Amino acid sequence: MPSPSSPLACLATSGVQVAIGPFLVRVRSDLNGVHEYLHHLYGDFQVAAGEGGHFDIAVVSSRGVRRWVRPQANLVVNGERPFLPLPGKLAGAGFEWSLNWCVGNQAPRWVAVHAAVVERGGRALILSAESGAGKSTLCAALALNGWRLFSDEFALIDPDTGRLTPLPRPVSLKNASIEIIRGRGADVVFGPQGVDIEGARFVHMKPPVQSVRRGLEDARPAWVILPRWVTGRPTTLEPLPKAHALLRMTDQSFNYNHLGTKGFACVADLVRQCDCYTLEYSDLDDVLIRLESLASS
Amino acid sequence: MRESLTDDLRWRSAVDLVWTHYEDSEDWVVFHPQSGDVYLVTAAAHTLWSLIADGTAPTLKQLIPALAAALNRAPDDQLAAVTRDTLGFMDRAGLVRPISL
Repeated sequence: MPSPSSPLACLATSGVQVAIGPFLVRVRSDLNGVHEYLHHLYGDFQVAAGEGGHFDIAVVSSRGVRRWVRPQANLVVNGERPFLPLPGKLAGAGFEWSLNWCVGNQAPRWVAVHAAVVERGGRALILSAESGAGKSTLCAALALNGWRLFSDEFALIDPDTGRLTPLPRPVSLKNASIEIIRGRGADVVFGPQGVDIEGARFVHMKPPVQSVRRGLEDARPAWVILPRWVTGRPTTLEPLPKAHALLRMTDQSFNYNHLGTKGFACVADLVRQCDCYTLEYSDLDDVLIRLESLASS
Repeated sequence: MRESLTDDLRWRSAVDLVWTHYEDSEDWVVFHPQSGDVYLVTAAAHTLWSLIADGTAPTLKQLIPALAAALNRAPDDQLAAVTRDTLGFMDRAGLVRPISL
């Protein structure tokens, strides 16, 4: 358990507040797995004792025999239980999934699009892809090669400014991506490996400290790229008609239609100011060079 | 397709649609605020919708020659079939509505 002087000392009692991008997240948990997870992967974030916040996430153990036999993690998010209990060993990941649920469903100030975002020179590159297309792998590789990690999960568009708000958090990597990224950063910290409910191996990669420290610096959207990892395929970066990019972005948005016309116009305006591409690749080093060239142009 | 999609059925456009067009292609994207749905449509489909919206050609019978003129092509059977199919699509998507139903 944490020492009394640790920022996480109150995790199991009144909870702690974690500043994650624009959000103050209250976290409570009596599970060691969550404490270890926060200690290792959120060590660079501002953590303080306190109650309240934009979101309230509790990851708590079951009572009775379930506390000891096949222990479970129960996720209580803003007073609701949107998920079934998870195996206790997935408690840390459960925190991330709960936070995804919060941002996707309860952050109406922004238009939230499922995408990875990295930034360079004040310009943001949005990676929008279906699950398994290599989005997070590419995002992690870019974050380890000079790009600032904005988010692995969300492009948060401010409808009032059209700019992107960062939400730096651990990057979720699955299956072969785990070894690929492990091989690229000897100093990179990873959380515990688990197997999700779909049978995929996963780990979370600690976000680079500079991304965390610059977690309130927004950026101008500059590129929308639809990446797809294809075995043996040479790198191809092809222009994508903006109308097609807009259709993809709205399809991947969690809440644009809740904001009505304002939400749609926000995404349409973002696409208007971006150069849009499809990207197919199999050689990560090659695609990093291509995107470096894109950013330099 | 609606069984009553006859040549003389009058159509009106849905209100409050948000149409978006970019210079790098002829396609249009339309947002339907009531359903929250977004559709990617061709330039011809947008022209067809505009002919209904501005009242130039509110029936299928009028739309075929009007669309042919707008596209600078002959009002042949192929264009008639495309017009009918596109009108049916826009009806199902809620982009147009028959006035008499």
